[in-house]
Amino acid sequence: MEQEVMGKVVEILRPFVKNADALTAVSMETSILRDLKINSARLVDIVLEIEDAFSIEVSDEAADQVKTVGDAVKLIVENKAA
Amino acid sequence: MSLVGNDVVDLGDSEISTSHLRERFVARVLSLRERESFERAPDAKACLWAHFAAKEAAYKVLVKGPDAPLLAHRQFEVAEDLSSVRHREATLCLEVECGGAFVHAMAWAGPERPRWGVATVAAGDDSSLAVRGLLLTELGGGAGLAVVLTPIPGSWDGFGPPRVMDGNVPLEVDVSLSHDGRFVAWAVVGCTSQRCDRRSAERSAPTERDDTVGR
Repeated sequence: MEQEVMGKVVEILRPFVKNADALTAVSMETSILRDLKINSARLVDIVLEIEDAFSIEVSDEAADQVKTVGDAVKLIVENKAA
Repeated sequence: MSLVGNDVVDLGDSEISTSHLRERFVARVLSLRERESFERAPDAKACLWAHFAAKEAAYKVLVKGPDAPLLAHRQFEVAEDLSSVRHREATLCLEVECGGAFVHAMAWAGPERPRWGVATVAAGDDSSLAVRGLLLTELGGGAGLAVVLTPIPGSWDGFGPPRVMDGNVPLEVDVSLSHDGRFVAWAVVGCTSQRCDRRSAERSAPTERDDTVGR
């Protein structure tokens, strides 16, 4: 399930990443800010897209924990399981 | 010594052109009270991003303290006159500049008002490098002066707040850096050490860019 979620997360991130090459080596450890150069304004958009794509609600506390692609995947998987 | 945080937003960025029209985006960024002001604002886009920048700037101040807040924009409350920003029990001074093409916000805690500047960068230039260079110029420049970022695993961008070192000695200043799109911005407070004062006095020629604005 994690791989499937990760694939969807990468597709959500893709329009926000200015350098597409940065996504070729994406992993669970990839930092959304440092490696993908996505700023916090775009992160608000990404959280909204995740809510829509996975039909979940992301709290402020949960959104604050999302620093890496893996963090986003974990948030979604845990939210879906709850 | 005062602590400072700043944030600049490029209002010409096409990616944010409609954010102010999207209710869920606005609800994620603004508090309920701020949304009432936002509804009445003559320039909703500038209003939204002024609040956003103010909250980012305040976050950058508070994250330097013992109780780092969540980066949850709606949990920060910007005063209607944009003179302060509050997060729980902490109230910070605030200065917001809407320059037409950009919004710059500077928040600070402490008695001393920081200095700041905003400049444009050419397409293809390294914004991070450019803003560090402008800050060091403001501090007098010279060999040995450098902006240092300490890796902090688990922090939002993987680094702690920027510090300025003069060789191996930390300069007695607090700084904040920001860049977005065509704009870079620095803010600095302190500079009370003898070395720093000497550096400023030794500055031989104006080095600020012609397109730099600030106070």
